[in-house]
Amino acid sequence: MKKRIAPLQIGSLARSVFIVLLILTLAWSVISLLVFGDILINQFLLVANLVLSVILGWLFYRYYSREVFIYDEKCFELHKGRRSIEGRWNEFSRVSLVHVGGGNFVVRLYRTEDDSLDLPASALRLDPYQLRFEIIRLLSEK
Amino acid sequence: MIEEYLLRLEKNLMVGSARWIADFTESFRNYQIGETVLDMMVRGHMRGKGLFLSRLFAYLSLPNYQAACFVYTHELEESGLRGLVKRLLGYMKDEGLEWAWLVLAKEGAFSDQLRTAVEKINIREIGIALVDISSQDIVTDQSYVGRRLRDHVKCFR
Repeated sequence: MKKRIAPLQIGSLARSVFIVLLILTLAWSVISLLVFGDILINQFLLVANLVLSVILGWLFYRYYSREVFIYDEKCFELHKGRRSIEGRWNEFSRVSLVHVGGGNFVVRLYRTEDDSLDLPASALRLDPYQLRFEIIRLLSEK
Repeated sequence: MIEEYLLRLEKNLMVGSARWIADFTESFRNYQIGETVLDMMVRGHMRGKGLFLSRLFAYLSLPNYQAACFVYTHELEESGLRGLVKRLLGYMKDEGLEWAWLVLAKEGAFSDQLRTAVEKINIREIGIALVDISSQDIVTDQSYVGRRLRDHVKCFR
């Protein structure tokens, strides 16, 4: 039976909303300056900007940065937005745990010495140490 | 108990006190070097990352020495230790590692011969520690690298 791990990645969502808010604010400033000769700011525009940023930020997060990990005893799928990578455990020969900074970890799967794939354990809100042991078990059963 | 200690040591190396010595970034379990299977091998380097200023300072002032910590938890005698150290020195040369720690951990006391052998060893590139998890007794070699190791293997709880 396949396990599906898809937690809400609050940091990633907040980043998406912030980037969209920044772009919309800059865009509105330029348009407003060109059309009205001044930067128009009022309560309605502020609320509309925030609401639009949350909606567009959510869509950006959903389609470009949300990470979902689905796996069973034989294979796995890793989705990042609309992109996805599929693999079988028996393609890999070695596993390591990598600290990528800021307390975030990935579990690195090695096909060969130079060809590897990172599973973002911290972004998926999994215990990286336990995920590593789980993957070692899956690789040993191949 | 050994597995719990390995997990604590791994955390201490990667995100704990040992980060002041080196940025240990990648950890392997059951790592094979020649015919020896080490329980754990953690690789790192000495140039930390950080944000803008600390990164710039590290780039300008710190050599990017590669380092590793090897952990072995099986029974070992004096001759076995000499063979293991020789194999590790060969591996370090091949992989471009400047220095390494070797932690020999087990539940129960180490033999007097092994303790004496470790205390007498003084190899500049490799620091060795014997860790008795039951009594929390630690013996290190005389090298500078070895003496620095004592504080970072002390992660019993």
